[in-house]
Amino acid sequence: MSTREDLKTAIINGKRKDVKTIIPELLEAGETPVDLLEKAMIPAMSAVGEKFKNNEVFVPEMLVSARAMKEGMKLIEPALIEAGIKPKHTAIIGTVEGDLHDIGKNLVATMWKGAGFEVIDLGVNVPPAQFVDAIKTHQPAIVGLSALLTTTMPSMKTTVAAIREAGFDTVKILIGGAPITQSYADEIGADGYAQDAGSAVDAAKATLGAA
Amino acid sequence: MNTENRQLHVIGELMNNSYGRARKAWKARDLDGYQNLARLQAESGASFLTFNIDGTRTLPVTLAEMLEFLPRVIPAIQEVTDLPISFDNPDVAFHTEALKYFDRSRCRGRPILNSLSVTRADVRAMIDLVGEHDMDVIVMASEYQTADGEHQAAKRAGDIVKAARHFAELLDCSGISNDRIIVDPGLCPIASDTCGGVNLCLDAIRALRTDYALEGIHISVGLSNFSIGAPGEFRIPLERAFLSLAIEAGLDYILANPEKNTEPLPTNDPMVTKLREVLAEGRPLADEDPEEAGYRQLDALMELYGS
Repeated sequence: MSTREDLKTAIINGKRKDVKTIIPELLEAGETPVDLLEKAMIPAMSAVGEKFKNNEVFVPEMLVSARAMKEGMKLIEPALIEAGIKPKHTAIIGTVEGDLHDIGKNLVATMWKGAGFEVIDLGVNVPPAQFVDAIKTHQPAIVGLSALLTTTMPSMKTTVAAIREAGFDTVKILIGGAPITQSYADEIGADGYAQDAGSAVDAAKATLGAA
Repeated sequence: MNTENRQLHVIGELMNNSYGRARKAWKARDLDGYQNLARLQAESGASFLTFNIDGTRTLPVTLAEMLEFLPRVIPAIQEVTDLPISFDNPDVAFHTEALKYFDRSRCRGRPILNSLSVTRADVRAMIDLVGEHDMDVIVMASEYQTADGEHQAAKRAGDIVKAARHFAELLDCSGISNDRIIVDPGLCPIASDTCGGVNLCLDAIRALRTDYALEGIHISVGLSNFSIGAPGEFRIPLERAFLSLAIEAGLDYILANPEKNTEPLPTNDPMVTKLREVLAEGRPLADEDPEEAGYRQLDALMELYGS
């Protein structure tokens, strides 16, 4: 009989298939989806994040763990919705206008999903107006802007300004990408900055004041 | 397969603020520091020297600061080497200014303008500089223009060929022949390659090499990108293994650190065989979601790290 600890281990080790067999077993045995999420799955991703920070695991390990987590979320989501439990945070993410790079943005989206966020991915080359429209529709707690190039960084400034001008003063804006720095985040009025996908979850939580 | 013997040309990448030694030289505007980096790379077998003084995550640099330094640093580099410089910046103003201080007569070959891409604002002005100063030119072909003028990231080898052909035609109109064009198809880090990017790069090299309209072009990648995110002890072996596969596909230039990663591993080296196997896992099966194959490639990569 599998235990919560087995589920946690399977996510840490990125064993997606194991996750798919363990969760139904645990639900069948009477575990609640909320307990599975809060006492096994989220702690598993926190453990992976910690190992990544300490150079004990590398990018591929982190990605396969996040994917196993995502699979697990699919299995418990119906039960969470039925119980009236919504994801703690909704996030919108996109690569800013003029920039076509999606790898970093996709990694952050994967990590945020792995942390239990609902993530709406707007894709690449996203104009400021599209971010504003998506914020109106989805009412996210956080917006992630990505840019890989020094030449497309100014689009971040335009996008932040458009979001603020549209009256969304409280939505937290997090930026990231190869040339991005904390000082640039400060300069353009973003709420935070993540150096890489591994730190994007912590950065989002810190910005939201969440544990 | 392109097995004909092409000489591998190394564009030394150490004069770039991503490297600590370059940052130190930049911060102090230390001409000796740049001369040492130039000399070191020349002695290590580089054929060209990248010159990139743009900012990084930890070091903000303005265009004005760059322009101010060019009149002193370009002649200083040329004092210690006759290697051609590869000027690396997205802004045409940088190239215009840098070339004012570059003495072509002290240089053993054509300098390089790095780079043209569909996302650049001043492609026409950059091509004019290439013509006026008798330069070679790097074309970033990882992005292309669709029929309705939209810019897209290349997803297939054909997209990369399309971007390369677009620039080859533009350059031909200015009298710049294919043998002066170095096409960079883009190389992503294998550590986060869940979408077939490394296979796309190799496929594109093969497709570029066999395209009749692109006969005579050169092909380059930024090799150090490949191993970002890999455990330290695997970085150089992975880069050298990839280089071996890329040369086999038709690569003849690399942007790399000439001290470390410019020697391909023999094609029968176990690391080359393992990398081939990892990349084979990344090929989607019939009707398979490409992401599924991408994660299979990651699994195989982790096994390689564990072996």
